[in-house]
Amino acid sequence: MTTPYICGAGMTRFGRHPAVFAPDLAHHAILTAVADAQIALRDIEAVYCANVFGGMILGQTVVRDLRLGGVPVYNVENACASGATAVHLARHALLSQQYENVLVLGIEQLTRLGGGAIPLQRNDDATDLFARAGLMLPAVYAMRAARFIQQKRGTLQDLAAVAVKNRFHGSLNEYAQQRATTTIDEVLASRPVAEPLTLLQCCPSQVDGAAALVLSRRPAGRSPVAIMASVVRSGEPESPGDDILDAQVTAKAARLAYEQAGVSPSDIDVVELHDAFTIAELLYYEALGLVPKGDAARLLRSGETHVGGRIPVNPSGGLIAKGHPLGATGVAQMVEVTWQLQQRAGARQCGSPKIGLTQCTGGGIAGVEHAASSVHILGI
Amino acid sequence: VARLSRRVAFWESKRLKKFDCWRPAHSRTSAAEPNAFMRRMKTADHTTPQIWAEGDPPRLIASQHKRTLVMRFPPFSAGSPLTAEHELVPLAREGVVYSCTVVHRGPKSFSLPFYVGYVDLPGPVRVFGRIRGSGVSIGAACVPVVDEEAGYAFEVTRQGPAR
Repeated sequence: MTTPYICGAGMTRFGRHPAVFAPDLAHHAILTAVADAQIALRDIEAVYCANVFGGMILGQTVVRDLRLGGVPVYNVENACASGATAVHLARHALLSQQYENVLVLGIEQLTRLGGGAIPLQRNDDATDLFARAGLMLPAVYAMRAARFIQQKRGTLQDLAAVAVKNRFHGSLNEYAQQRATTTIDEVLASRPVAEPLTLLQCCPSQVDGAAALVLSRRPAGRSPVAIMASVVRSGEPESPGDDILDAQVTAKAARLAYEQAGVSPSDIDVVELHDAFTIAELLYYEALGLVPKGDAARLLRSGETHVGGRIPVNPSGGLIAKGHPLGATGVAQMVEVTWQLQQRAGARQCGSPKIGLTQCTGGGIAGVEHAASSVHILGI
Repeated sequence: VARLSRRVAFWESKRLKKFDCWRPAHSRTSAAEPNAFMRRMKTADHTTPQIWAEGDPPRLIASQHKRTLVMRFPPFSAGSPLTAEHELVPLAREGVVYSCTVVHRGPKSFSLPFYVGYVDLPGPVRVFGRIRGSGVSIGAACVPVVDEEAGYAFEVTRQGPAR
C-alpha cells in the first residue's frame, strides 16, 4: 500500500463574502491548488466536495464551468468534519488505484444563514426535545468548561489564554478572518455567550471560505506531503458515568491515526486542531496525547503551543481567529499544515516541521458527544 | 422432484423459525409486516415523545433495554421498532446537576438568559434539560417539573457544595 500525497494546496481568505456565489469562492481555491500541484485541470479525475449548508449537488455546480468533462463529483457532508472526511474518502480511492489525481474542495457560506449559533439538525426525537430545552453547541462546550473549572483542571484565565494565543497567531495569517490581537482581560470582559464562555472565546459564526487540495497517487509538485494517516470515527452513545472532559471520540481517532502512521504524539511538530471554543483546545491537548490527562493548562501556560514553541498548536489562528466555515475547515487545516511542512507559512512559520497533525470533531446530536471526528497525520 | 422441493421448503421454514429468535426484534416484525408497521405509525403523532409517567408528583420516564438495562431518555416513541427490545420505566425524581451553564445568546424564541445542564438521575441516566430556581450549580439536587417553554425542566431543591 503506497501513501497518497498532497501535491497542491490553496484557499481563499476566510471572511464575510455575502455578495459572492459559492462557485466564485471555490474556483479561487481550486485554481490555486491545481497551479500549486503543477498539473492541468484536465488531469483531475474526480472531485470530492465537502459542504454542510450549501444545498444539494453543490460540487457539480462548482465544477460546471471548469470543463472537467463529466468527472465524478462526490458531495460529502459530515458536519464540522466534512472537509476531513472528504480527504479520507479521496485517499481511499487513490489507495484502491481508482484515480491518479483527485481534487478535494471544502466550501461554506455561513453568512447566508444570518448569524448566531449554528442550529442543531433536529432529525430525531431526542435532539428535537433537547434543542427545544435549549441544547446548542455553545452550551455543550460551556458545560465542559464549567466542569473543567470545577474540577480545578484550569482557570478562567487559562480559557482566555487560548483565545489570546490563537488570535495572536491569526494576526500573523493573511488568510484569517479576525486579525486583531487581544488580551486576557478583553477576552473575559467580552459579552457572555454561555458561561463561562465569552464572545471572544467562540469561533465567529459569520464566515465564508473555500479551501482545496490536489491529492495524487504519486509524489508531484514542488514538495509533496505524504498523508501518513487518515481516520474518521463516529461518536458512540454516551453513558451516564462518562466524564465529559474525556473527548472520547477524538481520543479514539487520534490513537488509531498514530497507529496507522507509526508515530507517537512526541513525533508531531505542528498541530491544527478544532478550537471551536477555547475549552475545546485544552481538552484536545489531552485527547491527542500531547500531554497526560490533567496537564492541558500547564502545557498552555508553558508557551510550548505558541508559534516558536516546541509543539505549536493552531499557528493559522485556528477556528477562533481564522474562522470556521464548516465544510471548508478540515481542508483548510490540511492546507495550513501542508504550507507549514513546506515552510511556506510566512510570518507564522513554525521552524522546519517534518510531521503535522490535523483534527476536527463536530456535529451535535443528543446522547452522543459529537457526531464525527477525523484525525490526519501529514509528513514531508 | 415436487416431493423433494416440498421437503426442502419444510426444513427451510423450520430452520428460519429456529433462528428467528436471534434476529433483532425490528426485523422480525416490521420486515415481515410492512403494512402493519405503516398502520401503527399512522395511528398517532410519533414525533413528540411521551416523557411523563402517570401520577403526581411528576416523574420522567425512560426506555430501558431489556437485556443490557441501558436507559435512554427520552423514551422511544410507541411507533419505534426498537420498543420491542425496551420497556418503559419511571425515573427516580431527585437527581444531581453534573454540569451546567447560563445561556445568554440563543434563538429569539427563548427567554434569555436561562440555565441548562446535565442532571444525573438514579438508573443511572444522564438527562439534559433546563434548570430553574436559585443556586443552580454543579452538585445541586433537583427534581423534574413541567415547563411551558421547554416541555420539562428541573427545579433546584437543595444547593450544591460550596465551591
